[in-house]
Amino acid sequence: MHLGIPKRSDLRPKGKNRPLLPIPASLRGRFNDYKSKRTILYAILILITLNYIISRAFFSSGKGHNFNHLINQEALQTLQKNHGLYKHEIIVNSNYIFPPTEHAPLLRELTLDRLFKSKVSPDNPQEKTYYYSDDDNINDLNEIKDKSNSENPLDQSLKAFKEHGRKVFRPSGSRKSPEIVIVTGVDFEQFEQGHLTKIVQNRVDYAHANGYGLYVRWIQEFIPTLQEFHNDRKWAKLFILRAAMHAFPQAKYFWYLDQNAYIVRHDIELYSYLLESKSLEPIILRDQPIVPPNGAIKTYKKTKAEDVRFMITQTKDGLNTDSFILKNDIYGKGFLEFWTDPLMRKYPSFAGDDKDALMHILQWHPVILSKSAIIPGRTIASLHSSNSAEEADDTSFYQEGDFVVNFKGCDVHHTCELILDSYWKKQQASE
Amino acid sequence: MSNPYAAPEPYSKTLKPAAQSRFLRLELAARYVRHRPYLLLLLPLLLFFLLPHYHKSPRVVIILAANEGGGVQRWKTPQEWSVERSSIANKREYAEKHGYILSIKDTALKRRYSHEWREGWEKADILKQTMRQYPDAEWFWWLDLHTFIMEPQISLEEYLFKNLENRTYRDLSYHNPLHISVDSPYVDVEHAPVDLVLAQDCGGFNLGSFLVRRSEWTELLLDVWWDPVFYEQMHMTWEHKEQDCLETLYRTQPWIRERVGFVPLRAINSFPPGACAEQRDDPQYFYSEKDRDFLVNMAGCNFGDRSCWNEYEHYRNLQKQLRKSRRWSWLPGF
Repeated sequence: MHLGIPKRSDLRPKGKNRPLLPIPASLRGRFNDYKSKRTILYAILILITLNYIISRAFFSSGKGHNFNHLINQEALQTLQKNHGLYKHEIIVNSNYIFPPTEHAPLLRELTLDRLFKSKVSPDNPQEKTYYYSDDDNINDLNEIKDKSNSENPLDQSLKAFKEHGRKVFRPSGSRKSPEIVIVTGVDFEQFEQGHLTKIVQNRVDYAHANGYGLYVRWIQEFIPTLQEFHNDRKWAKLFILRAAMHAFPQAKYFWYLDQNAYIVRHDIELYSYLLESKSLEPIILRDQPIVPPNGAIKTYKKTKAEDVRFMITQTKDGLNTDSFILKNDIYGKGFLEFWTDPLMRKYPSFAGDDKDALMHILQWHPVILSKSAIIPGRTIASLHSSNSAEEADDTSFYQEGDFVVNFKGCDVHHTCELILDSYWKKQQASE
Repeated sequence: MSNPYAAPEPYSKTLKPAAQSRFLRLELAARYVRHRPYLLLLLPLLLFFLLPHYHKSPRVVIILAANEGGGVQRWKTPQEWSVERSSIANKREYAEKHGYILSIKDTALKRRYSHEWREGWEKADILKQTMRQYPDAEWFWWLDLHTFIMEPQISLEEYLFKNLENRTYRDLSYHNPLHISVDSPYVDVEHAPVDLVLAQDCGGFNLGSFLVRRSEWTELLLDVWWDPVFYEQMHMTWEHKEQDCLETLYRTQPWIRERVGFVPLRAINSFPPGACAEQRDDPQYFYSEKDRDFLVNMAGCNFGDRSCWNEYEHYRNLQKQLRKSRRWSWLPGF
């Protein structure tokens, strides 16, 4: 058969009524009763399509495809409220949360026995175990209901002591949260009122000059937690820092500065001084052994400033936890809570010093190490030297014009008051 | 038209039909459809079948732990081989159906996980490694070898990930076999996403089947999950190794608590009768054919008088039956 090139007319259907499928002759009559066979085909196809769509839509939300029947909807709706160590909190409006230092002698007079509930330890009858009680309810005036005489200064200081830990800052209206918060723990058993006032005043002045927040707590507030595993009071800084993160949830950075440090330069602003990438990038100590002088684990060679969540300095004995900066994000919180985990505090060689736990963490956890930076000592913790001629090392000891002075170890020789006084006088004179 | 490179043509041009151009063939098809417009209805149908596979790159990786405890201590029996094969085939079918990635990981005994040194912490290491291997995937679903997906038509997106924060329990108040204190300071569940989907069996957390999302939180969790100081103090107490360790971390560290979402055991990890033997009358743990539970985990089937192979065959056959009854579900009336 000769095929040739098909013409257009060859391809066209031969007419409108051409049957689509060969239908048996016996049925043809019946089908012809309908106006159009196409309608039937349309109907069938639409039915199948719709059925498919509907079954898909219904199956995916239907019983076979979810686990709603296993879930207690009521339990699903109840979300725990975010709270700190105490369930009832006092909302304050001030950027500066610090205890009244004039209560120090009164609190000392009260002794821990009246500040906490206590019981005699079952193992050692000489030792008392203190514990918290959360039974003091907050009344409408944001104060703890007390049954005692409010005129008595001892009762007043007891009440202030109990209330202090419940204070949290929440932004309201025009009051915005500070971006940086300075955190300090103070010890009323170790220092006199005058000394404590100087420490707190120093932080308040600095925070005020730069628009930062301040969070100061009594170290004694954490005695029950410290007692759990016989931890040294140094560990209290971590609990205070965690409480500060709760008290200022929207702050971006927290700077823990111990009570044995003094801010000399109030004109230094932390963002441009340290926190911005371009300031931090050149000063990160890379490839620096974590355990000086020649530990096997070193900081990363390629740490980027924007990844850094934790900034700390180092002395020749190890990391200096008297002054460090922590970012308030999931890494910062996770790292801090891991550091304070009971199993860390319980470990015999860490119980005495939070620094040892930190050095362990940085050496064993690469993700944490990659977010940490060791920075030169004189950036945020220049060490005080009683005899400047004796120390030839100019990378860690205080020199005129440094930001912060850290009198590390002053408690051993009981010289903290004297040293602080000398810096305080110098600062007063220059103003 | 003279092409010098063309082979000499043996036939006369006049008798040969001209080769149809591509364009002409398209035109033919177009004309064919123009006269049968109902064919256009098939297009959306086609799209429905294809869409779920091609509109996104895989964001789910299924990690299947194979060769559990394998190594040099003894030989694998033919039945164990068979179970392993069925398990892999089951996950492969599921992954292909939904466009997920299946990643089979060898969990044979290795010296680096020997006793008193990190034994039982392979999961964290394998998760870290898999996250590096698939940098674009978001969710990672860990499955033990003795699990069997009973309802492979269920997609994880629909079943879990959609609206995840509102479909998981954010604390332990509903079911708390370990008696962990439900309330904890510093936990802000209202503002935290769920990065780990877990189920609890009669004895606490169950890591036979769990899902974890790539996030900063997860990176840190996988980093701190194993710590030598924790291990040294607890390795005699932590019978289930990383599972017990996770329970401890959950108990003591609020940042971990914040991002764990709990689902009922039967949502992702139903047990066959035989597991959780002390609570055999409690329906919340055991596979229900009527409810068409998603997955069976024959946890502990190699202990006592249970047999992994028997149990596995049972659920495999059951799935076949269930599937047969569903074959015509797309037609009206089925």
